[in-house]
Amino acid sequence: MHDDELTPEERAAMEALPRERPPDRALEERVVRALRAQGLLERPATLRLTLPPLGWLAAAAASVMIFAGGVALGAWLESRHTTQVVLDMHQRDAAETAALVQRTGSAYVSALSTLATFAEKARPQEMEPAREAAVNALHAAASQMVRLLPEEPVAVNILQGMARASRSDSLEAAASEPRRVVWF
Amino acid sequence: MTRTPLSSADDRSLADAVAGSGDERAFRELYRRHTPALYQLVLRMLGGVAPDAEDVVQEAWVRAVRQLAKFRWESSLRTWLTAIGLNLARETLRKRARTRTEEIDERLGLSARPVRDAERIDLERAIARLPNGYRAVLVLHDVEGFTHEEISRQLQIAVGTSKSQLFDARRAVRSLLQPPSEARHA
Repeated sequence: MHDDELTPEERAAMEALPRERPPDRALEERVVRALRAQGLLERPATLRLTLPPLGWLAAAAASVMIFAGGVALGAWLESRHTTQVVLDMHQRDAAETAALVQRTGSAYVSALSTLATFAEKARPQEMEPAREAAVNALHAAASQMVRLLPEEPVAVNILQGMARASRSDSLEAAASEPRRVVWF
Repeated sequence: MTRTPLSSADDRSLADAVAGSGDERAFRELYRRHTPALYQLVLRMLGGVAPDAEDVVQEAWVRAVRQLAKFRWESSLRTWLTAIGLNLARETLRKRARTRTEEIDERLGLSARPVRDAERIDLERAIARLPNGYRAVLVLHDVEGFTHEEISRQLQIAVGTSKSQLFDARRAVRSLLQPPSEARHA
């Protein structure tokens, strides 16, 4: 026999030799470059955004619209929240109206009582603004009462009386100083 | 419609993509699939000279891609690629032979150079030290599993020459792997 056989140990040693070895990573790029240079490979297609000038304008407008839409959505969500808060507050006010009127009325009467205490000592010109404020507050309160209950006799009489007094005051005021108005 | 991932595509589909449209991604998949084996074989054939092996691998791929459209798939892509790589490796060895003396032949001869006492040598290094002709036959036959007929066709030598060179190659390797004391008395 021309070629003697391998011993089992030799055969095992041969079989144990690696069959694969990855070359340096740079070789792949080198090979690809060489193939490209010869026109054998095309660069992989990449996603390129090519737009005409008007396209860019449209894209910019779309961006602005998206931004504005986001702002509007945020504002709407916020206003919805605010509306809910106001609604809750109104519901709460309706429930507490009676107590609030009572507290305000007590404060009004208390203020008039204090004013009456000082009325004897104070000069008439010092009392006039307080009297005017008290009358206007009374008028506003009576108006709200009529709005609430149009047939309410006390409030109606107060308003009618004040209207008569106002007409006579107007005639006098035309000949004297201008009237100061306190608005509620 | 689902797209087949490149890693699960077969060689032929990838090769068609490369040959048809120069698909770089398909090429890279083929490259990564077959280059480690090609590189190891060529490196061994060239006696472990990495720069030469890299040049051969590069040129093998360039030639393969250039001829891919004509490949008839009568063998596997790997077999075809290996053949191209081996031809190129032989060309490289011939160029080396022309540019410098075959000092390794003088060093080894048929009985191979005795290993110095302090020198430990493993099988890979022993193969690398073989003369080019011996090494080619031994690598293809004993490592890669080619038959003498295949080696004959691949290296364009007679079958008898292949057998003769394998015999001498094995003897040389055994000599290189011999413990130093035995080598001195052989």
